[in-house]
Amino acid sequence: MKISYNWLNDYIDLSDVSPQEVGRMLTMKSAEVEKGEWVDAHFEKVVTAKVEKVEPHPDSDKLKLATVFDGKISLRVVCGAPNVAEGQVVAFAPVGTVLPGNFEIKPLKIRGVESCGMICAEDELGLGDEHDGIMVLDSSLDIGVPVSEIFGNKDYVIEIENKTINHRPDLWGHLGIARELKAIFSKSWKNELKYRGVKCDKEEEVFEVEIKTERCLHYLGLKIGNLKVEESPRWLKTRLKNIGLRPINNIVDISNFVMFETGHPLHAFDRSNIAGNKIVIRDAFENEKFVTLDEIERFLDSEDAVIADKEKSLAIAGVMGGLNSEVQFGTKEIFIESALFDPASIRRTANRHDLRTDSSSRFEKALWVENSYLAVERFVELLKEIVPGAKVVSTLAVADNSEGYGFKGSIEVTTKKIRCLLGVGQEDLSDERIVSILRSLDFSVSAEGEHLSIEVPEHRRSKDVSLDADIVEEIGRIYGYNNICPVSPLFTMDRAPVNKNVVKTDLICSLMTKSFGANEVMNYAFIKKEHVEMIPFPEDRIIETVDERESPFLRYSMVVGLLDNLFENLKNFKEFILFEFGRVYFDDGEKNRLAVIVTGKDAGFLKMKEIAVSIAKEIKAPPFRFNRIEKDFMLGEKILHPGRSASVSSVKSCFGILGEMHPQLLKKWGIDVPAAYLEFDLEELYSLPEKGVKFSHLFKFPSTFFDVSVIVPEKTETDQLFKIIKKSVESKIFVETKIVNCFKGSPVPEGFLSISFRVVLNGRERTLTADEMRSAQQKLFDDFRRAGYKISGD
Amino acid sequence: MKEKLEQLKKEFDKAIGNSVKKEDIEQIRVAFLGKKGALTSIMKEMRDFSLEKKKEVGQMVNAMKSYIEESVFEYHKNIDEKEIATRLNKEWVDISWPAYPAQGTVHPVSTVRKELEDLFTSMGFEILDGPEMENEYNNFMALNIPEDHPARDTQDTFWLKNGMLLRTHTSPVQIRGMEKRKPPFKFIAPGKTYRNEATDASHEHTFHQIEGMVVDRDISVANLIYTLKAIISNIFGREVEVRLRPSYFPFVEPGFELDFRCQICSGKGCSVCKQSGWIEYLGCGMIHPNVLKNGGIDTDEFQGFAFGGGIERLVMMKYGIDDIRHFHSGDLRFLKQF
Repeated sequence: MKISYNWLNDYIDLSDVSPQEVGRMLTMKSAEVEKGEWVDAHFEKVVTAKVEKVEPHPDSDKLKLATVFDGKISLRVVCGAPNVAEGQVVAFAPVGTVLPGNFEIKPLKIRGVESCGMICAEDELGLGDEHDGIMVLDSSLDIGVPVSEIFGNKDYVIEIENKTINHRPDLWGHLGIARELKAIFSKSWKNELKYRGVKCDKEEEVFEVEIKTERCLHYLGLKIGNLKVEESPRWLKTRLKNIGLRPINNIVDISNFVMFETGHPLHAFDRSNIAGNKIVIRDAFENEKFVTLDEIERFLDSEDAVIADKEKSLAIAGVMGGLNSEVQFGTKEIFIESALFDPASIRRTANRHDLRTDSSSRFEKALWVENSYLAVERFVELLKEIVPGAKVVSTLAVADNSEGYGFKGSIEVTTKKIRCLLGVGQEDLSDERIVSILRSLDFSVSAEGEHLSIEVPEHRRSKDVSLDADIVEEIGRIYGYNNICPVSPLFTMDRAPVNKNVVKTDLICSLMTKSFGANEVMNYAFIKKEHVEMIPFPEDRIIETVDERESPFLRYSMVVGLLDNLFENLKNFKEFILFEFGRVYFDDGEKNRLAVIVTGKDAGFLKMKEIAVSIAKEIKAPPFRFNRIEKDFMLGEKILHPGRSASVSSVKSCFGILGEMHPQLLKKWGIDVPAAYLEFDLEELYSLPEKGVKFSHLFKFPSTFFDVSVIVPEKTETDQLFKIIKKSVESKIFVETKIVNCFKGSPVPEGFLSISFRVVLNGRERTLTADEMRSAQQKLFDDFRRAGYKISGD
Repeated sequence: MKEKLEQLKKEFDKAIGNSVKKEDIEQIRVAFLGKKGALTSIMKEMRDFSLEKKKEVGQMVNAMKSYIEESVFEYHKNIDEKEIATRLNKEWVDISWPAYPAQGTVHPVSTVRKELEDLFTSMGFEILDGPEMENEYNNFMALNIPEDHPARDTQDTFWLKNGMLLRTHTSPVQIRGMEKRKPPFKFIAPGKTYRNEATDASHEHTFHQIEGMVVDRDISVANLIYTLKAIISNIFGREVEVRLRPSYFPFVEPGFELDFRCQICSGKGCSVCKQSGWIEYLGCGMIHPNVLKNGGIDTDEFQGFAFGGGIERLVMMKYGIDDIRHFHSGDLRFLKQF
């Protein structure tokens, strides 16, 4: 909302405060000022001048050379306007003037002729749209005077960030801002606007008002006759123009002026379009057709309130009037409405019809009853001033439905509580100071010791102030938050509970980057319809946004984002590992996940298994177990290669999948290099018990080993072979076994592999004898043979 | 005998003087000191000498033995040194050959988030998490934002077909946190948040916030200023001036916006702070009594402050990133820079 500094000065005298300071103090104490700028500052530079001579331009048919006298000297300017003529009084912008649009007048040569200034058209001065010719002024004007004497002074316009006054219905007009500045700068009213009562000049007609809906809280209206609808006087147009409104006609302009003065919207109906003399405020009919002032046909429903006569609706209550009763040039009588509507209803209606107006955005902030009286009175006052013949020809028709609206009680609070919440001492903020701040803001206070009983002024009761916390805010902001000395809170020395999930996530993150050189990514939760088609999932479990969008579904697997990342990054890189901590969403809630994707020469099953076991060690989880993926588990069969993938479990149920990616899926994404993938559910992973480290003694005597090569059919899981070894070798001499070699091809027969194990033995308290070692070896050979395997060399 | 030994020494000196390789020296050592060596045979001859003569010759022989041993050692050492010098002379690496860091990179938002978490935990704050898919009660109602409240305008919401929504701020964690705790407590809740708006260089529909809440008996605005000033100063590693401006968030009363001195222009005014000298950073305030009550806190006994701010803004300022869309691009050319 824009606020004019000149306008504020109608109510309080700010001549000792610069407009910039007004903006700064509003920001620090009331509402955020987004920007402030001078308007019409050029009026002080542009002067009246007389056109002394007009000659043709030597090098152009259209341009002319005009000699103007600015009161001191004569200057020659090149002018393109067809209407320039000798003897005219014009608005002349000398060199150095900055016109609206940041257009600076500089001395320049036009087609070889020097031009020292500009004769202005109406639009160049920011006074209108006229650009067909220069603006010709009254020839009786003095020459050489700034045009501000004709068009008004420059103004400073402050723009307030609306969201910072969402809770302050009273600040949606100049009067409210002036009231605020009055407290901030300790001033008194220059002109206090108060409702004194609207007088009927001559009762020609009696209007009746009936409220038939809860959506209307209060309604006033009266008829004004003997009107002449015409252009508004310049001062009014300037006021509106400076705050960004387009002047329309005197009736509309006055009601806009009153809205931006009091914050209260008014609406004027052409009386001749109202059938009968009863106004009814009712809910609209289901599917009621209505054409609003913007000439759009709308369909209303019973949640919208309308202003109606006995035949038809005349306006969508509080939002916009109807085309059928618009005030036009030629309107002779109007019915002026000043009402109060239920904020929530107005907001719903405005949203439903996508019709946010200055009126609806004020009503939805919760205005107050008293203001509707002041607004109508101000309208009448201004109208009579501007249209001298205008007469009030009905008494005020009133209907009230506002019982229970707004805060009614008084607020009881102690000065101690106020100081305690602000964190200031009595020496800085005394009881007296608290009371005087409240009074400056129009609260009435009765104090008994430190106990205050506070009456809230009407303009703050409708919504904003009802609690002691609200009073603390009033005191705090006027006292100045930046006058409060920062104080450290007093806390106990207890350590805050540690969030183990955060700790484990950090550990995995650093493992991935430090040990595997991986890069962390973040992907959107949203996925597209085509993704759902590529990785099908039960429809009733997928979450979808209400609004239609390009990506309306929430991901149920992390794989979509990572495949996109893979595809994009392959354009620049060949080998990389990406990982992401993120969420997946289902009908029964969301889950935290870790996903890893690998591409390049390492992109195999084993790499993923290595990452998995490293994670287990890093977060001290019990050893992981790897099994073939069962159907439907974490979309494993759709994402991963069936023969080169596993589900992962530990002491509890499965929590993840890993392996090489399904070639079909990669193809769908247009990826033609192999990739491996891992996805873990973090709730399950992090809930695994933590395995402490227990030290085992180092052997005192040296270990010995023997190797055994076993010929096994392809697709034999080595796990079985390890089991045979562990079972065969006596545990009191067994240390460990690992694979030292594995190969296919001659002399190993087709369809078989040779796997060599090294078995390490130690006698613990002594050195093993050669016999003991040989017998262990022989036993293992026999056990392998018994299990159906051949030993190399057999 | 003496002549014999002197002759022997001459022979030894000559032989060792001509040696170049370690093997030559070893041969010489054996030739003199070995079982059949020259000196050994002299020592054998001593067996027939008188005691007195044995003593005299023995001393000379021993001196000769030591002389040979020391010389052998010296020559060995010389050859070693020469060999190393030759090797060093040959061996060379191209130190300009490029090397690359072995570690990967953490996402810059995670890095800053972690810094913030560490900072808050060092001050005794607990870290909480909450769902991104929230219900309307926790995201709006319980935070004093009823249906049809104008404050909902500033939070364009992703509504979901199951009746839930994607949280528009991390503030619902306030409600979840309070419900499970008995005051006094203090916690933060960093996380992803969503706004249903178009993206451009400075707007994202998916971004991160950090929420904080402190509830105790006498928590005040003065405490709030102190705490947040400490946090901001720690983020920048130096004392940073802050200011509070009144603002409106339905879940706090009084509510503020916290600005800090622009660290780029030191408050003189630049494009980053839009010439104001201040960077608008956090929304904060004293927790609204209704919100405390909704969290099951006795408002007669306890009060507190809450704050919330975006993480991306800090990350962008820290690294000079000018387009917020990089964060979710997954582009390694971006990610590898951190």
